Amino acid sequence: MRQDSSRSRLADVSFGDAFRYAATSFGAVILVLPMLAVIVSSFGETAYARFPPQGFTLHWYTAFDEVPGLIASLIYSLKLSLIVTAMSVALALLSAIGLTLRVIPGRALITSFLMLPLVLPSIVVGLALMLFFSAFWTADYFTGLVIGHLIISFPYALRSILPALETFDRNLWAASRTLGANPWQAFRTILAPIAMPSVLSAALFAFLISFDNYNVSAFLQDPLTPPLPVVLYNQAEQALSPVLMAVSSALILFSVVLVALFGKYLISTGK
Amino acid sequence: MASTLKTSTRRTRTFLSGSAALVLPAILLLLVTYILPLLQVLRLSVSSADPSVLDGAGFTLRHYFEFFADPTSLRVIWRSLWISFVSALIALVIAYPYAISVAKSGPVMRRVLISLALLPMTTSGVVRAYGVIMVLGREGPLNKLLMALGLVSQPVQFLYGPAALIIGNIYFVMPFVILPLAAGIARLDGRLLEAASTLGATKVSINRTITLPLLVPSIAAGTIVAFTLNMTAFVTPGLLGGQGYLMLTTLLGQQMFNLANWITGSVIAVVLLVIVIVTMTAYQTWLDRKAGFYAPR
Repeated sequence: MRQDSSRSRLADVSFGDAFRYAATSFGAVILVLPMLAVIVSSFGETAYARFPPQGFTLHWYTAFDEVPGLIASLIYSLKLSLIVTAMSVALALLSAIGLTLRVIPGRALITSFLMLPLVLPSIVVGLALMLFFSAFWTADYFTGLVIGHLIISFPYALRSILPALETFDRNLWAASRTLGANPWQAFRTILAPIAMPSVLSAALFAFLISFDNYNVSAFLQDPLTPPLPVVLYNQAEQALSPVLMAVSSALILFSVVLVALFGKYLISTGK
Repeated sequence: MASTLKTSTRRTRTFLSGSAALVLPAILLLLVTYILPLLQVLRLSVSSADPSVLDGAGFTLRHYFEFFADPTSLRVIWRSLWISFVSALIALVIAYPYAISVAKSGPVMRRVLISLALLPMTTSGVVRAYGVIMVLGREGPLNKLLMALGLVSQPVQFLYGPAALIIGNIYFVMPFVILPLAAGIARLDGRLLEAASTLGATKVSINRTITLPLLVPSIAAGTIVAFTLNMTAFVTPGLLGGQGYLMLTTLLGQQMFNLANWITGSVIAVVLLVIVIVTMTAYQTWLDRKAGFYAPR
């Protein structure tokens, strides 16, 4: 409706539209240029990455082992993030069901409480947990990282799942139970199909938040096997090797695939 | 709902009330490994004992006095505030027309524009900072542009200064401003715009008198999110500002990682928390006061 009316007026492109097109293109350039610079400079022949690059080579894509600890940290981070994703989604799904199936007192308060790590800075989580683990609980590095990542990933998962379940008609649940379904059957046949898209989006968010995290990992890392973002960060304190650009290009490619396949799950439930 | 529950069987009712317990694991997790550690930070920041006593002892405000008496701290706080604010505002100005285009485009173009915004958002923060470092290099496109325009005669050294940090911040928060703004624009009541245009309003005046005022909450939300993200980011200021141009977060990092000064680190963490909480509360209060005006009709 609105689009039709605005489009009929688009017949003559006004000054305002021309300005908007220019401004939008400028915005698009800002969004794309740094990514492009990383990808393009990964093909340069010089020992230090530069943009625009000189020459052309694919060598750096075969030289990931030139940066010490890079491959190990990639595997370590994948393992960590997959575990954190599974735990975040499970915890978020449980909490969302608990908050939705029945009208419980203080629901808004509980929800705000669970969302707190979304609002408060993650660097403080890292610092706080580091002190906590030193003073009260000597957990091993991996457990510490899982807990730290879980705290900051879980609210994103909850934020994806909760709105989807809120639209759920509780009568359906009550009806299925009255008709003799046990809770598991009712969950599988009624709740799960409704929650499914939001669970996918929750898993994506949880994975991305954990896989990208530096602020918490920097405090809780095992210095012998730091997670990938920590390795990438530490490397950037020297002149950048093209190997880092090659790894980064691979990560960007991963994002491209993610956005192409699941883009709609990443925006449908923003706040 | 209540009536449904009354008519359903007792067994169902028992299970439903039991279902509320499902939220307990999450609450427990946050209480033990989030709230408790945060309280420990607060405790340590006023501890009068030796710094090695990690659960704190005694009480003193000395660490706060010392922190605020140091001109470096004040300079870093002020710098964090203005850099975060200026970056948020510029990001907003660039994001606004972009978000309007997202809302007004056909399905294909919309998808392209949204994907372009999602791409950096889903890519690692360090990788994004690498990209900014490449763009800002001596022979990078920005220096080339400035030289071509004759604005500078020598390549500018952007890195480790305010310009690099502001540019990095803008790039970092753009998606977080664009997406809520585009959603806000898509929610606008099309009938208002139609009525205005039927009554002869020009596009510019529609934008000024209808679109913009109705978007104030989305714009404010975007700005607040951008400001807070800038304020609490570590990777961007760490790689683009470095040790020579510290923000509150990187100052915290320096105290913790380089100096192992845990009490000062805790003081900075509390200051950071207070700034974020005050900002969010002020915004929420303002929004609540305006709620009547912006309530969906």
